[in-house]
Order: sequence, then C-alpha cells, then structure tokens
Amino acid sequence: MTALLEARGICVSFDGVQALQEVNITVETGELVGLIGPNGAGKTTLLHVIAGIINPQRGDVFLDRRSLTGLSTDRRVLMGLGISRQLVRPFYSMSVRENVELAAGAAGMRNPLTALVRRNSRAERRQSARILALVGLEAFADKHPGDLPLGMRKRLEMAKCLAHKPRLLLLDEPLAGLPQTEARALADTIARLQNERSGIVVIEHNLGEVLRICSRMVVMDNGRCIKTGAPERVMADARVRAAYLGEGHAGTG
Amino acid sequence: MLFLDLFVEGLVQGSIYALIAIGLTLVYGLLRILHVAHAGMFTLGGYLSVWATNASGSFVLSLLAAALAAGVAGILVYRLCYRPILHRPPHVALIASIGLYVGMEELFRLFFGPYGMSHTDPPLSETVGFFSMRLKYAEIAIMAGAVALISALAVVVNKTRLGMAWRATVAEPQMALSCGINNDRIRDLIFFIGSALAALAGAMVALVNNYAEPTMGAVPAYKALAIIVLAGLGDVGGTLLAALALGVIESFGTIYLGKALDRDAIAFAFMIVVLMLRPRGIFGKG
Amino acid sequence: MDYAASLLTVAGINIILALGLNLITGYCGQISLGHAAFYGMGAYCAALMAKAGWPFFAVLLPAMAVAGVLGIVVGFAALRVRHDFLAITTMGVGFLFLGIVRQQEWLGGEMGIYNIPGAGLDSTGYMLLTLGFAALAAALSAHIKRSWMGRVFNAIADDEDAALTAGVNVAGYKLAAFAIGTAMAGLAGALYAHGIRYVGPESFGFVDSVAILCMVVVGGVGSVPGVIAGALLLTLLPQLLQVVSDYRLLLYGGLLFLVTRFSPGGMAGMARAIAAAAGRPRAS
Repeated sequence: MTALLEARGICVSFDGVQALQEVNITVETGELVGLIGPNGAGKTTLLHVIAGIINPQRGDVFLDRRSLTGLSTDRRVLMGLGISRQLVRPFYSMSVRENVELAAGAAGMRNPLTALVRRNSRAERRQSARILALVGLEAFADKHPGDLPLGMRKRLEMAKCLAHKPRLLLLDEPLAGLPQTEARALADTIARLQNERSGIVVIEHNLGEVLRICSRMVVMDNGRCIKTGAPERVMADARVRAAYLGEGHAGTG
Repeated sequence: MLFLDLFVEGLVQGSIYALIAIGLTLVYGLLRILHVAHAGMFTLGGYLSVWATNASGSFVLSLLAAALAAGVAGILVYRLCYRPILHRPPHVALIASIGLYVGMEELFRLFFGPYGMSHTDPPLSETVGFFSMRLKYAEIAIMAGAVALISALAVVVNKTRLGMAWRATVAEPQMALSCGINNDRIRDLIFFIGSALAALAGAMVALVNNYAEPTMGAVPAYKALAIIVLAGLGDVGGTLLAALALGVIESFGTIYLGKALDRDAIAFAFMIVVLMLRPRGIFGKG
Repeated sequence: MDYAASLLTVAGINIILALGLNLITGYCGQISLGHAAFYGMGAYCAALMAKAGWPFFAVLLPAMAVAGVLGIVVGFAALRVRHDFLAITTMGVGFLFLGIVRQQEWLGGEMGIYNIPGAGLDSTGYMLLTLGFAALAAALSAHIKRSWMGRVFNAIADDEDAALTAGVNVAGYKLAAFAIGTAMAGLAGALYAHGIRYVGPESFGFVDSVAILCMVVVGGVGSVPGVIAGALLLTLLPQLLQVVSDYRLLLYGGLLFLVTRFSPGGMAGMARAIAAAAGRPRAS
C-alpha cells in the first residue's frame, strides 16, 4: 500500500476534553477527500495535527511513508504539505505577487545566509506567475491583499500553498463566506488542482460543492471518524444523517 | 530564626509587589496592554501620602487622598494615552507606556524636587517583638492592608457585575468587545481600582522607608511586569501567589545567591527560567 | 574640535546601536527591551581584552562574536515566547546582565573598568573610524532590506504563523536577526570602550535600552535613513542644548510617547506623509 498520507491513532485533548480519539485517516494519490462533520467534531484539529500546528498526545502522521511526527510546520511544508487555514492570512505588507514569490522561494532559502546574498528572484517570479494564472489571480498580481475581496484573498491563500508544488493540499473551509457563484467557481478551481500525483483534503460545510467535487468523503463526529466512502454512499448512511444532518446543521447549501 | 526572618521579610515585600501587580493584571486582562506607567501611580501615591500626612496630620486621610487622586490619574492615562492607540499592534502601547513612565519620573523630579520627601513625624514607626525579630507596625500594616485589599478585590472580581465583565473579557476578548461588555465605563473603573491599589502600595512603601523619591517606582514597575508574566498574564489569583513567591525567593536569594546576582536580577532570572519551561507562565494555559 | 569629535563619535556609536535594534525589532518584528545588554557585552569584552594587551583591531571581532552569541541565546528565547512575553523576557535579560556584572570583581563590579588603552588614534581619527563603521552598518542594513533576507524578515514581522505555513524557516531567520543585530551592538560596545576608555554598569541599563529603542521609534521603525536621523537627533540635541540635557529622560520619554501616540511611523513616516501631501510620493 502506498498511501500518500497516513495518520494513525491520533489522540488530542485540550484541558482534559478529548478533541480527537484514536483517529485514523489515509489519503491516496489522486484523491480529493472531503472532510465533513458538525462543528466541534474535530476536523480542524485533525488538520492542525497533520500540519504540525498542534502536537497530538498520541499518534503518528506519515507523508509518503516518511514520519512527520515532531517536525515543525515549515519543515512539513517543505516535505510536501500545502496548508491553507480557515482565516486567510496573506502578508498584508506585500503585493500579491510578492506573497507567492516568498512562498515559492522558502524552500531554496532555508539558510538565512543564502538569503543574505540573494537579491534577484527570477525563478520565483516565473513560478509565481504560473501559479497566479492557475488560480485566476494574474490580473491582481500587483495589488495589495488588503485591497482584494475575500474570494480573491482565498485564491491567494491557495496560490501560496501551491507555490511549493505540494504533494498533499490541506484546505480548511476554502468556500466559507463566499457567495454561491464564487464558491462554485472556487470549487471548480480546486477540482482542477487535483491530479494523479497529489492529493487534496478539504474541510467544508458547503455540502453541495463538496459532494460535487470530492472523490471520497470522511465524516467526523465527536472526535472520531465515523464513516468513509464514496460521497453518495456516505450521505445515505443512517449514522451520518443522525450525526450531521440530524442536528439541523445549516450546511446543505 | 534566620529562616523566619527572611520568610516574613519576603512576605512583606511580596505583599507590596502583589498590590502593584494586581492592577497591572487587571489592565492587561482587559486591554492586553503592559501598563508600565502603572508604576507612576505607585510613585504618585507615595508622594501624595507623605505630603498629605505632613499637611493634615492624619495618615488614614492621606491614604484616601492618595488612592482617590491616583485613581483619577489612572482614568486620565487610559482616556488620553491608551484609548487612542488601542487598535495598533500591542507593542505600540507598550512603548508608549514606557515613554510615559520615563517622562513621569522626570515630572516627579521637577515637581517634588530630586531629593525626595519624608514624613515629619512618621506614623506607625514603633516596633513590636515577634518571636526573635522586631517588626515595625508599618510592616504589619502592609501585610494586613494587602490581605484586606486583595480579599476585597477577589470579592469584586468574583461577585460583582464589574468582575463578571472583567472575567468575560479575559476569557473571550472578541465576544466581550462585540457584546459591549468591555466598554469605556468598565475600563475607567478598572484603571481607577488598579491605580488606587498601586497608590496605596506606594504610600505604604513611603511609610516603611519614610521616604518618597522620583525613582521609587522603577524597580517595582519592572518586577511587577515579571510577576504578571510569571503568573500567565490576566490571572488575579496567580498574580498574588507569584508576587508572594517572588518576595520570599528574593529575600532568601539575596542571602544565598547574593554573591552572583544582585537582588533585582533574581526576579528576572527566576522569570526567564520559568518562561523557558512554560512559555505562557506558571498558571497560563497552553 | 575635540568636543565635536567626541560628540560625533558617540553619535556614530548610537547609529550602530540603533541600526542593530532596527534589524531585530524593525525588520524582523521581534521586540527587544534589552539591547543595552549586548552593547555592554561588547564593551566589557573589548575592555578586558584591551587591558590584556590585545591591539584595537583584534578586539573588534571577538567583541562582536561575544555579543552575537548572547544574542543567539536570547534569540532561542524568542523562539519560545512571543510578543508581550518576549518584551518582558528581553527586559529581564537586560536586568540579569547588569545584576551579574555588578557582583563580579573581575568586571570591576559597581566601579567598572578604568584606564582602557585607546585605539592609538587622535580624537578626529577615531571619530572618522566610528563614522566609517556606522556607514558600514547602514550599508549592511540597506542591503539586507533589499535582499531576500529582508523580504523574509518582513514576512515574519507581518505574520509569523502565515510565514510558517508558507514554509519559511522562521526559527533560523529570527536567530539570524538576533545574531546580526546584537553583533552590531557588540561592535558599538567595543568602539565605546576604546573611545571613552572606561566601562561601568551604569552605561548599559534599562534606560539605555529604552534610549536606543527611542532612536528607532522616533526615527521610524524599519527605515534606515529614519533610524540614522533618530539616532543623530537624540544624541546631538541633549548635547547642543543644555536645557534639553537636564531633561534628557523627559525628552526620551516624551518623544517615545508622543511619537507612538501621534506618528507611529516616526520621522520617516512624517517625511513620507509630507512628501505624499506635496504630491510627489517618495520611497522610504
């Protein structure tokens, strides 16, 4: 088995409250996995564990069979994770292009001393131009993130992830807060990003769009994974309906 | 009975730290500002109480006057200095506060003169035997006063609407702001109470040393910062414990570490060690 | 002439100090309230070595190295604590440095170290040398700002968490900022020790850290010309106007407060605002 991502037996507790209990998740190359569940189910916590933002009390994470346990977030990014967090956080002091260039150059500039003698960034510039075109931001390259609408800032966030050519993209609620037409367009962009060599995990409350673009769903509730499988099979499951829809969660849009 | 001597001396010093640090914690909990200029209130309290005692002959009256005046000054500091820069990154307020404090020290020097001020007839200067040592009544008054004031404050924080608002703000800053719980009236009150407590501490220190001088606030100012950081920022109970602990550790440290470190450095050595082990303080979460 | 030369020497030293702190606090966004401790490290190191007979130029590098190593140690602290906690930690480092120095016989204790050999230059020569080093420090600062390192510092100052998820080696760059900034303070310390030929604990206290911070803030956080102007202004003003000298601390305190309160960009920010108002936007 050659799982792209494998997380095994993840346990996290905050102040004695169990946020994740023995969670296992695998992602194969070429998959676009939708991670869904009611608020407080532990989706973002799981994502943060994979990204190295939270250290779990127990459990291990492997990317391409290499253990990520104990590594810092920036190291994991260089090993092939692309992390887009729920709140978009561009560097507001730089232009859109510079944001992406910075991410594109991070791997080659691990050592501050090389950065000290480096001024020109032609490679990063080319890389960022390519990615900005991919996410549909080329027209905004010289604007500042603060002047962009939310939808465009979300695309910028994604562009920063892609700058590292990630093997696995982790997206936390990329569509949240967007009007339906924009959400649909962004979901299409995400679906286009998926290819045979990489994988995507997306946390999303916009069930309609998740169902449309995902190849597989993972449902979480109360800190556990309760169901995984093809979207239509998962949504037909009684336990999923009870946990997720039964609570009257307004996420069916 | 060296041990007991040092312990009691540490507690006296710790009670003074506690009175200053608690005001800082209150302000930090509400506004996330490290209010260095708080020590200016301490110095103000010291001067006002000495001056008012000399003028009126009544120490109690002077305490009231010092607390009241410093409380009002605290409100002014909030309104004129902090409120306009609250939306800026937190270090801006910290730098402004340091500037304000350094400026205040100079103003005290200008206004009251560089040589300090003493009681003409120092109250509570008699001593009393306690086991093997002699304590000034003033020192006993400090401990009793600190206990009484901090207990009263604990009641305020735990039982009143003001205290509820403060605790809500510490726990959920965004929520408290959007609900209007964390409003100007609450902030005025917190600055008033905190500054009044610092002024009382200043008055007591001026009483024990029989001396108020422009820089008397400097060391307590920085140590009080160390204390609230140790306690984890925004924790009243933790602040009290950390203040008393620091007082005691210092008084023992001066004896046993005095060769390597001076008294003021002990506090910071202790703080740095704790922060490296627990980056959010002893009682801080996470 | 001697007076003017020694005054400009002090100004040069202060420029180096302020530019070093600007690297840490202005570029990289890591607040430090203990810069005088690194200055003191360099000064004491230079003083001891000079007394032991080392020639002037051989002392400069070790002084920078000693301060820089302490800077890296404090930089490691900056990896553990952030923002307010870091401010207080660095302040603590300052007090700790003084607390240790004051109790050490071999460092002269409260009395300090006297009769440090000079650099073998006359006062004008020494002034030129110091100003030359200040110019080097300014050139290095300007270079860093334009280099990729400056970009990364900018990102870390902007949003540290976002920098991590962008794959930036935040820890390494923070340490680099502390190492370079504090090594510059070490150089300033060595220049001070040879220029004044005396070092004592009272020159490296919290007030001195605040004074350096004041130069950076008043000049304009992050701006090289601004910080140089700030250092010059706050060095020369108290010397030229006797009135100001008596109230030096009131000036520092008042300026720190007024600038953060009314013009957070400092003099550089004001210059930009004026240029913009005049209709000719200018780069900082």
